[in-house]
Amino acid sequence: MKKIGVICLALVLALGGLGVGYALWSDTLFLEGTVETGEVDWEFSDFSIKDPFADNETIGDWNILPGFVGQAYQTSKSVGWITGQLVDGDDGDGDNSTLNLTLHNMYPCYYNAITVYPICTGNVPIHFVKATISNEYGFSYTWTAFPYEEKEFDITGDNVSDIEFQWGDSLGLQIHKGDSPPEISFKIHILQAAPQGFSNGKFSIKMEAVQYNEAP
Amino acid sequence: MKKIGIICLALVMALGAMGLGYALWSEVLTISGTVQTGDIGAEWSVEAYGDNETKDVSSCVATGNGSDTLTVTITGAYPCVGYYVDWNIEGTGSVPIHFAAPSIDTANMPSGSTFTFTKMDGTAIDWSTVQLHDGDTQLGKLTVHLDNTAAENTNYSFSANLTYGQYNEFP
Repeated sequence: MKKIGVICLALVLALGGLGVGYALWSDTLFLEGTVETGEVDWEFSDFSIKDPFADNETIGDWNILPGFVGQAYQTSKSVGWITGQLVDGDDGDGDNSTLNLTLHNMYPCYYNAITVYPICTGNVPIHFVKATISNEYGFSYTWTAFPYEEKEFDITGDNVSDIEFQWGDSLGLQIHKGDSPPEISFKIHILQAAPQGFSNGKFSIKMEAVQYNEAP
Repeated sequence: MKKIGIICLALVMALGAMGLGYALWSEVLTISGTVQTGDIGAEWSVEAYGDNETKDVSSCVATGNGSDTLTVTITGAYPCVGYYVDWNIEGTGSVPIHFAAPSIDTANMPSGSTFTFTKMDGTAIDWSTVQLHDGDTQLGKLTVHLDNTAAENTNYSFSANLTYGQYNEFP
C-alpha cells in the first residue's frame, strides 16, 4: 500500500513539473523588409552640330583630309549640312534616348562634328563604357578604350568605304543624377568613293552605360 | 555519392555567378544616321548660231540643249566666212563645280583655220575662276574661220572637252 502511495506522489510531482514547463511565457519578434531597387537610365539632354547651315553662303562648309589628318578647314560655300532630332527610343519611356541625324547633300571631303550632352536620369550613377557603330551591311565596331581608331565603312552597299568616323575621348565618364551633362563628341568625314545622288545611307551608334560599380 | 554532391554544388555556384553577370544593369542611347549625298552636273544650251556670209550658201547649226554634248555642224563651208555658236553652260548639280582648262583639239582642221572658245566679247575665259552653283550659267562663244588652206569637198572636225568637278577638290 505504501508502494502505491510513493508511485502516486512521484506521478503528481512529474505532472507538476510538466505544468511549469507549459506555463513558460514566450513572445515573438518579427522583421519585415521591403527592397526598392534603383534604376540605371540616361538620356540625351541636348546636342550640337558644327555645320547645321543649309544654303547659307555666309557660313561655309568644313573639309578635312582622309583619316582626319591635320586640321579641318572651312570652305567658302555652304553646300552640305546635318540636321538632328531627339526622340524617344524603342522602350517608350519618354526619355530622349535616340538622336536621329540626317546628313544632307554630302560630297567627298565634307567634314562635320557632332556633340551630344547626356544626363543621368536614373538614381544609380552610371559609367559610359562603350560605343558601337554599325550599318545594315554587317559592319560593326566597338570603341572601348583610348586611343580610338578612326573607322571607315560602306553605307551604300558597293563594298567600298564611303564615310569615316572618329570617336572623341569620352569613354569612362561617370555621371550622377543632377550632374551637368558632359560633352561626348564624334567626327564625320565623307570619303572619295561616296557615290553621287545616294539618299539612304544608314549608320547607327549605340552608346552603352552601366551601373557605376560594375563597370569593367 | 560524395562526388555527385560536389558536382551539384559546383553547378549551383556556376549558375549563380552567371546570374550575377546577366544582372549587370545597363542602358543604351542610340544615334542613328541617314546619309544623303549630293551630285554634280552641268549641261549645254545653245543660245544662237550662224555665220557672217553675205549670201546664204553655207550653214552652221548647233544642237545639244540639255545634254552634256554640244554638236556643231557646218555644211557647205568655204574660206573667209566666220561661223559662230553662242553657248551657255548651266550648273545642274546640288554641289557647286569648278572647271579645268578645256582640252581643245583642232588637229583635223585646215592649218590656217582659226578656232576660238571665248567669252561673248571675244576675250579669253579664265576657267580657273569659273564656279557654277545649281542654276548658275557661263555664257560663251565658239567661232570657226577657214582660210584658203581649206580643201574643197573635205570633212574637217574639231572638239573641245570641258572637265569639271566638285568645288572643294577640283582641279
